[in-house]
Amino acid sequence: MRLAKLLIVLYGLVLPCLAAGEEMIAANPDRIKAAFLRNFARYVVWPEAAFPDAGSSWHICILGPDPFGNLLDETLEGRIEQGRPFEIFRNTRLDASPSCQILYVAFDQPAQRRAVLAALQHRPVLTVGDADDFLLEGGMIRLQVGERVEMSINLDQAKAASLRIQTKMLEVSRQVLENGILRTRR
Amino acid sequence: MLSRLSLRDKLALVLWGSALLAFMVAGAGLLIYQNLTLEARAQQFMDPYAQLIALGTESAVAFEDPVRAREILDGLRANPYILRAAIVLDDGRVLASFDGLSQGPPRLAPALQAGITLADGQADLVQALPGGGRLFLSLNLGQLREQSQRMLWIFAAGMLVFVAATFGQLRILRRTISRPVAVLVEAAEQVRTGADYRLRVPAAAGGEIGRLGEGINAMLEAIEQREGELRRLAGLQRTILDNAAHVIISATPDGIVTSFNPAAERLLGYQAAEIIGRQTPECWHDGAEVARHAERLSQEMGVVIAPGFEVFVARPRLNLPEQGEWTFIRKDGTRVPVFLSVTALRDENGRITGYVGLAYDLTERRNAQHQLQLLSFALDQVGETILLMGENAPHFRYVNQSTARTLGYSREELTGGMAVYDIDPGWSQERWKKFWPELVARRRVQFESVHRSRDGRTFPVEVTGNSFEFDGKIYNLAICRDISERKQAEEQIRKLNRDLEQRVVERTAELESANRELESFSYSVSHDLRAPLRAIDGFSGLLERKYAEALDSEARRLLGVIRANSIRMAQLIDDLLQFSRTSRRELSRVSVDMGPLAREVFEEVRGSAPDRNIALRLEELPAALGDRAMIRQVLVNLLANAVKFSAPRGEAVIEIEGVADGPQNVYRVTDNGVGFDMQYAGKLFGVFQRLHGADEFEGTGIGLAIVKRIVDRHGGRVWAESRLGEGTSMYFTLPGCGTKTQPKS
Repeated sequence: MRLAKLLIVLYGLVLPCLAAGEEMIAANPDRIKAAFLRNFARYVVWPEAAFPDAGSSWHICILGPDPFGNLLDETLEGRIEQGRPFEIFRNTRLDASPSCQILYVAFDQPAQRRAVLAALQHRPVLTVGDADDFLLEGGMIRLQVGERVEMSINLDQAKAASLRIQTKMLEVSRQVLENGILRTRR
Repeated sequence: MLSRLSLRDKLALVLWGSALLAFMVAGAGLLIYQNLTLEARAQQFMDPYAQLIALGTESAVAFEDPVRAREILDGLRANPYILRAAIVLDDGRVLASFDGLSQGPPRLAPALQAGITLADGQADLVQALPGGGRLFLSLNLGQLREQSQRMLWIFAAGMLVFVAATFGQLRILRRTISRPVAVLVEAAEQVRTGADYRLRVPAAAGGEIGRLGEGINAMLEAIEQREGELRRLAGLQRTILDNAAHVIISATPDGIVTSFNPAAERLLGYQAAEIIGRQTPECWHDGAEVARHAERLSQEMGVVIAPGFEVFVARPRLNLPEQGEWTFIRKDGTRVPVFLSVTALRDENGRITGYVGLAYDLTERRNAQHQLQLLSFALDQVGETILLMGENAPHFRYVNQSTARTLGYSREELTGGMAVYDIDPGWSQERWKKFWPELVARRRVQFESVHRSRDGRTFPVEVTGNSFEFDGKIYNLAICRDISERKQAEEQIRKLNRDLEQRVVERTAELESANRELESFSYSVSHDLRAPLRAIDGFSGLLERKYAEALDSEARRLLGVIRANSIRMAQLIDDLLQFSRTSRRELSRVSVDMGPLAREVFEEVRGSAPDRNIALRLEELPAALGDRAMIRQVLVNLLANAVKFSAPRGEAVIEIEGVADGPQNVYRVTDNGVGFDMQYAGKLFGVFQRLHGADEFEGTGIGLAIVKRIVDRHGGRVWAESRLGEGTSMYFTLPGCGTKTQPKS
């Protein structure tokens, strides 16, 4: 008994000193981004009207030069989210794209990005990009690659497009723009 | 050994034993339970953490956010028992981890399978996360062990309380059970050693012990009562034995006398003290008689019974009755007949504990029996039928031998339900109903009836019923006599009487006819005698007159005598004729006025002596019913006698009087004449009987005979009273006719 108490005391003294110093082994950032796109289908809620019918698949569109190559196809191969499989569309023009639920804007030119984003304003399309000012340009989620892949979210834009982003996703994002204020979480 | 312990020690032993047992079982159970459930408890302990981490790190895993994952894992640091935790992505990369023990990289559990592994005082949990990846969690089992130890401590404390409670219980038990029981035991011991059933155990309050005490007290009371009853019973038994009229002797199964009551002392002349302890039968039994009984019993029972005690107990031993008549020999050697019955005494298991013999003196009973037999025999010798019947019951209870013989039934038949109706055809129930009360009231009723024997023959009987009370009940003893012979005799007598009457009638007729012949003969004789007399008298008178001168005086005197005698003869004949007529003539009965008739007759009679001084005193006379001429003749004769026998008196007085005396009138004619000696009164009314000489008073001696004949024929009586020299009274009676006649002067 006394021994047990001693042990407990020892634990209390020793544990705080033992900081976890492990590091994640770095993976291919594009693969991670592809996984992010897939995850959005889980953590973002679209209105019913965003889908043509109940059985239709996820349309993930890539507008601009495709940064993923085969990685995205590998990631989404055979996956089903919310009962729907994934379909990938790659285009260079917005009006050539079918209606998408997730749109990755890969244009290098800010003007091109602004045009696309403006055209999609108020439409239930989750816009994702990795440009530095992507959120300011009217995008909803910006992915940035540092030591690891981090994301920032424009909640105002998402709300305007009737998309609901779950809190769980907000918890793991670096910055959130809400009501015009950009808050950095870490 | 256990049973030798006191109640208190037993209770303590049981309580402590059960406490120890409970302690051991519960302790062992607890330990086993703790070990058996360690994994489940570890799982239970870690599951909430795992769930929390799984939920919290879902998005962190999905977006491979080590910061968020680290934040959540850091929440576990607060729990000192969680040694390590790690979240590993599907591709083997560690998203986040912490190790509470070592600085180095977390030691990952070798098992990649989801589940829990116990080893080295720690539990390792591997759980798949919903968004992919796995959670590793290591738990220091010290926490759970500590829990177990705490429970053991609590258990030990509980045991202490339990021990204390056991002590308390023991004390309570000692106070409520051991001590009261000890008190009860002591009291019971006292009662047992002292055999004093008046003692009572102290009253304990309530509960089973209290009830036990009450029960013991009730039992003691019952025993005390029972003992009192036993004592009374023993007293009663002693009194019975001492005062019983019967001889009561008890003996052991071997025949040693154990008791000898006063009646036995009186009957046998021995003292109890000299008999008790001796072997029977030795003193008062006849050896020869015992041997005879032994022989008979041996035959009867098919086994050899030795002459001795065995003779008396062979049957009682088999539960058979043993009773019979024996001869006891008194101390002084005299013999007395007794009736002895022997019974086996048995205990509750049916084993024989002794024998008791009951005997009583048969002398008086024998005498009484003899008397009864004598009486019965005597009754059987009687020729009459004797029947005994019960109260208001026509059925026979006893009949004598003669009844059976006379009626042809057996005695058993007669007393086996036959009744009066069966032997007497004249009896019915109705007659019995009338007869019984009469018999009871009159005690003795005699009547004649008819009996019918078995073969149908009937014969007359004279029955005398006698009712009497015996022992509170009324019986009827009927004695019936066959009166066939008497009836025959009576019939014969009746027949004889009838014959006799017939003969009397015949003889009377004969006599009457002879009488009539005699009277007619005497009449004709008298009549025929008168003619020669008249000739004698006539020719004597003629001789006297014609030859008066030729005859001397002597001759004339002789002639005078002849004539006087012939006249007298004639007179005699006349009287005889008259007497005869009075006998023969039929009576014509009329009412006769006696007064005038008497005066008329007196005047006529007086005429025969006109010169005499005769006075008549005629009283009032009742009228008579009869033949007037004959009654006149009576008066003529009586008054003529009165005149005649009063002649010597200067003044004759004649009295006539009469009175009615019932249906008869009595008349009296009295004179003051010479009278007569009453010793000759018997001769007065005979024919030709005279008390005076003819020379003294004339007469034929027929007058009173005629009077008597006439009065007789009227059914009256005539008698005389007289004194010599003073006068005579003549009495006669005649039937009256109810009216009186006035005398005429």
